[in-house]
Amino acid sequence: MSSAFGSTIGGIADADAPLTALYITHYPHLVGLARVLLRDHHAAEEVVQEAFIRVKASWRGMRDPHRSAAYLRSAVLNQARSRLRRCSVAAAHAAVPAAADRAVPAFGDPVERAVAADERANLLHHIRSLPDRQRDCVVLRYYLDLSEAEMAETLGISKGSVKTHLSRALAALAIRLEDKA
Amino acid sequence: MNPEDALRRALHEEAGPLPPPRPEALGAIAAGAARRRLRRLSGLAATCTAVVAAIVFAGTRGGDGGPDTNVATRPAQPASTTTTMSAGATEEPDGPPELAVALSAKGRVVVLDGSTSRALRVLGQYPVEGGRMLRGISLTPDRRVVYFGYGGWSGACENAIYRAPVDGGRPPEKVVEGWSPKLSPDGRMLAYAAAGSRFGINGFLNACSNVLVVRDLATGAERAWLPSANDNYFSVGGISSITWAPDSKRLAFEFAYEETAVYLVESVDSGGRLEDLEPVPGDNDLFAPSWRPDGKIVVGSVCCQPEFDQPRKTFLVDPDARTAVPFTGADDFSFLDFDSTGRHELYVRGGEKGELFRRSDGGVPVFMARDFLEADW
Repeated sequence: MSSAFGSTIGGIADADAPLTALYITHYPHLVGLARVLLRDHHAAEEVVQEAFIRVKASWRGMRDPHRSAAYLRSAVLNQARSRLRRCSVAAAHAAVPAAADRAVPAFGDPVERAVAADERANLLHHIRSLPDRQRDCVVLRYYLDLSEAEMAETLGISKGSVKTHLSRALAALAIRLEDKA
Repeated sequence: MNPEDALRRALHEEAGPLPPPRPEALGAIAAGAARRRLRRLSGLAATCTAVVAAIVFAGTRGGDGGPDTNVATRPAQPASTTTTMSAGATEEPDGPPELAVALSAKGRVVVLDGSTSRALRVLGQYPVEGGRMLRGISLTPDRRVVYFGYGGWSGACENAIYRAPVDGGRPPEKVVEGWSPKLSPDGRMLAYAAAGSRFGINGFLNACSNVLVVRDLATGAERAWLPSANDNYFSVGGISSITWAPDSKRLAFEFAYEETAVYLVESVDSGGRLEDLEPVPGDNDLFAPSWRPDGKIVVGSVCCQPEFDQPRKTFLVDPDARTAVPFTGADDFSFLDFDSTGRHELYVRGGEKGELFRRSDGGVPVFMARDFLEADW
């Protein structure tokens, strides 16, 4: 893919065209991925930018540039996890935004919208409280729509492990949502 | 809506509309990458300089025909956090150690995630009935192997030190009879408490940890500090909470008999004398010494005989000047450990709950887990 920004826009020369293409293709979804995990748009952008910096700094030493997308996703997941760890105490005491304060679809019955928003907040809360690997599998599968092979490459584990983590995650979510009900 | 669709919808709504790529960010990425490469090169240059200096130093030492003496220094933490291209690598230069190992009151040897406190794996499970318990835990400097002690007394001393890989790849294996293992910061020596009976001292059968032993892990040679025949005090008490000085040349430990005191051993290599560390004024019991990387020792203190009913205090002891000042770090602890930087504390709060906390840079303590006796990171 050729750069949509021209050959030297932003200080990246033609030699970096593959990285520019990678940026254009993956930046929006990676920010979305980080935003799901961090609940903070600015933090999400920082995490994604840091991931691209790592890729750019290591581009020449990369054994398989075709794996760069998987590496980017992995870097975003690791950075997000690292941030969450550092902020775990603050996060534990942070008030969960009320359903009414969160984005809800601006159509349909207001009561149904509020209920839907509450259910969504509840579901997201349970996703975030899953063990790291299970949570990563859920967001990679259901947010990025990755295949099991792509998830395995991103997480550096086997496809069998991906299946195990995902099925455990779904089972745990089902139990927690039933308990809530 | 089926559950998978509900998941997709919830995640996509949470992520919100996708932001467009920002052309100006590419410049920031290029600049950031350049800075990162520069840092990596600086680290490489520093490493090369150190290697050249070491070679020159070794050459000058070899020239005089003298013995090759190991310089006891703590292995440095990774000097640079060079990015690797392996998926899954993390980089946390300012955070607490990635993992901690801990002994639970219920007999488990547990590996914990140092940041999230999540239990990663159980390396062993030991019965704790009949006075048997886990005592003493220590990580090797490369953080791959853990040593711990387990045992008790049932007519005779039955305690042993085990070692196990932190990744759980092999079951624990017995190393030697003893308790309270602590590896020196340079990883060359293992200090532990042993029963006097092992050395022919049979005065009191229940003295299962009254002899201090230091083993050279390369040769297996041991040096023991034995109580004299008339030393009733050391014949029946127990050694625990062994802590090494950062230079691996001195150590301190807690010794409990009718009172609890902290003892110091100078010049471990040459079998230096045991000395009572008494810098805290008053008739205090001192316990749980922990030597910090800056050379000071943190000790717990409780006052005073015979009731010892005063609140516990913590002191920072200068072992060279033999002075002590109140320490405002972990209060009311029964066990305390510092990481290799001295910035991160791991401690068990006194009391029956065995609450394990971590604290970084003098900040707010973070509760990690309950029912723990000791830990190391």
